[in-house]
Amino acid sequence: MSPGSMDTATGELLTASLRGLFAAPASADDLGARLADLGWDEVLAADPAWATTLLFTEQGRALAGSRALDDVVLAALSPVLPPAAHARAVLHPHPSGGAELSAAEGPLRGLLLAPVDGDTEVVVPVATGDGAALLTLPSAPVASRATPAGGFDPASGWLLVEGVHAPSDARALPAGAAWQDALSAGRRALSAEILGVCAAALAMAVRHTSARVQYGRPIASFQAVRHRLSEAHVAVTGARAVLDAAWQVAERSDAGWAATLAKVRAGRAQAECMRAAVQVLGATGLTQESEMHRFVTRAAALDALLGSRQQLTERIGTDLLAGAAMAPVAGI
Amino acid sequence: MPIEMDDFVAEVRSFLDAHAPRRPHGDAEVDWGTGIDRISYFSTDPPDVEAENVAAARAWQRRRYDAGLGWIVGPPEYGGRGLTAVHDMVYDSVEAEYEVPDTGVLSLIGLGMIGPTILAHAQQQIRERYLPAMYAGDVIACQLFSEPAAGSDLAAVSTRAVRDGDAWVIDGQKVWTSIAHHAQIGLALCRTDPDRPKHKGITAFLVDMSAPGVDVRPLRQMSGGAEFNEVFLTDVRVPDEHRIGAVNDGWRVALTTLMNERASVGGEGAGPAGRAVSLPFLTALLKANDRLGDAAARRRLAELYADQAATEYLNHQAVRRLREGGQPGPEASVSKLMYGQNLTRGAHFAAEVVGPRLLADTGEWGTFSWTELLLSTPALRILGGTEEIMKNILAERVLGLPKESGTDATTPFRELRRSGGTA
Repeated sequence: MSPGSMDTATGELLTASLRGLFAAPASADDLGARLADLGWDEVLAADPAWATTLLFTEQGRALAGSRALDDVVLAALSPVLPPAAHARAVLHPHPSGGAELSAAEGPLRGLLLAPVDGDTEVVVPVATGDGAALLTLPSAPVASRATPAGGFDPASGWLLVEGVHAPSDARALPAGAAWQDALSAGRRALSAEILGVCAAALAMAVRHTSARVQYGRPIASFQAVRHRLSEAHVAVTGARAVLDAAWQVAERSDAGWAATLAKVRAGRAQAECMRAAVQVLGATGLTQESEMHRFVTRAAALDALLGSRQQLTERIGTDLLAGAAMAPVAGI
Repeated sequence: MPIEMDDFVAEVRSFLDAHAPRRPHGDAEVDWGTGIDRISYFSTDPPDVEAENVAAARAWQRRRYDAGLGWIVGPPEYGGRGLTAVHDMVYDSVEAEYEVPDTGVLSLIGLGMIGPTILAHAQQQIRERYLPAMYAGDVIACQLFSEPAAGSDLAAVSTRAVRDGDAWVIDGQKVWTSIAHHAQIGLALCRTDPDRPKHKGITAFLVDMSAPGVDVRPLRQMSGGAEFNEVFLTDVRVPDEHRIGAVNDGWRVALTTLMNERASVGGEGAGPAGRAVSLPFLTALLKANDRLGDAAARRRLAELYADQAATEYLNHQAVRRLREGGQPGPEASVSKLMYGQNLTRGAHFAAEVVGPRLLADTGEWGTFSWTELLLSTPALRILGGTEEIMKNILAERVLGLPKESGTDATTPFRELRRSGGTA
């Protein structure tokens, strides 16, 4: 995606700044502060599609972690949330349930991108009889039930939260359409992050196969190798096209549909891309000596957030057969 | 003279209203079980019906041309309108609302690929003679490129052209030539210097398909139709002014044609085969076969939908790039790969739903009719550059992977090992 309202030089400068920012190790909160120093809010306001895609692509490429996804979700929820008195975090839907929400009466469960403490308020989307609603909880009861997600990608820094009971006076604010908007915004951001991870993995596979010599020539000159990488490129390019299309319709009534499709296509692209990238690295790609495992696990973990490709594919198929309007994504 | 888009749309509508009926309803509605039961990619009409279709295509193209809409992006001195690719897109989208003859026989190869090549490389008198005639529907062009021993390795063409005074004498055999049996002219790649490396001894010529020594024979496909031909060229005399580009510079000419071909194959619209990837049609297929509760089918339908959306949007972006003044580039290979795969997956999806009813024509609507498409989809992964060649292009030109080893690009053509041309 090219910067719409920004000139190319500014775009390149910002890309370079973001790469520098993500290249230095930092905690999720430090990254937020550094983005603020960079004046990211202004960039975001000037061109949300370009800025969001760039930020998450670079975060994916660097395998970094931040609260940027919280910010995306909270921005979409801002029409229904009272102004924030303190820092806010989001308890995202628990990955095992896709995008399914905990029932408002509890117990609540979900995923935190990073630890919460002190004054931080935790916004928890919940299901009520009247649709999605938002609970805002103090950090302590949530933090006390949080354990590192570990598992497939321990480096993510994410925490899983189970069995939280909201205080009896907590009131769930009806979220209306804002939760669907937040889901769509989150899915677009995650798609960009997944594609950033793919781009880095593919670049690594290109470097390796161009340098690695067998039978007297670089292995990338063998069709069995180059065709795999071309297929991975096709998968990633197709997914990026759907993501661009999802941004084009972000203000329209079919935004949710398009964002879901983008997430499905990004999820599939990472599966195809990682399979190819691991294979062409040979046995090295299977070890922790190689960086490849970090791309593989991060891409899979991101795929699981806000609905995995399998869950969302099932959803789209069901909607199609139920007669959902088949939004002409390309007919823009 | 610049023209406002609103004025242009009004002009197009008034032209179409005067000459064509509107389509009865949008493509989204599917009346399963009614209408023509036919799903094909290639024409399988008997010769008389095919001839009528060609005549209708020519007549419609003439109408467009006379109204100043025959070559919207072409330069006015050669019969074009001198407008932008956006106007062209707008025209197509408005015309899609009307019932008009399919002009693919003219447009896919002649107007889409050969026309731009003539414009870019031919001498002025050839441009003046052929471009207006082509875009007016009078002259159909074909592409005399592939040979029995030069398929994916197109630069290995061995059809000879030898200079004889102010003419050239051409001898050889071309193959897989779409619509050669309707064409008046063909763009031929010929070997003019076998002592130079293969890419550097080729010259392009515009051949009169009615000249003595040109023999066109149909090739019947497994799907039933005979869209392609073999073309035998025996002592065919071509005047030097029909040479396109410089002597031995024919590969550059061919690249112009090939880039436009990939853009054209990958960017094709629905057509009769569009049904295979038309979601309303595939959904109707599942309903008609009582498979709404089949979770595997549901997931595959969603996957087909996602793939189709990706391809459509990629094409959309490619057109946008062209409109901003770009040339079709290696990214056209991505569209072409995805288009061939989508159509193949769509046909296989339908075949699985229909099951054994695919094999015998029992008269049941929407069953046996899938056969033709199923047997045609392999062609989509071959024509216009095989999938393997597309992946090589992406590997080298987009991913920057090292070239395959081999010395054939530097060895004189005469010394190369070549295939005999039989399978």
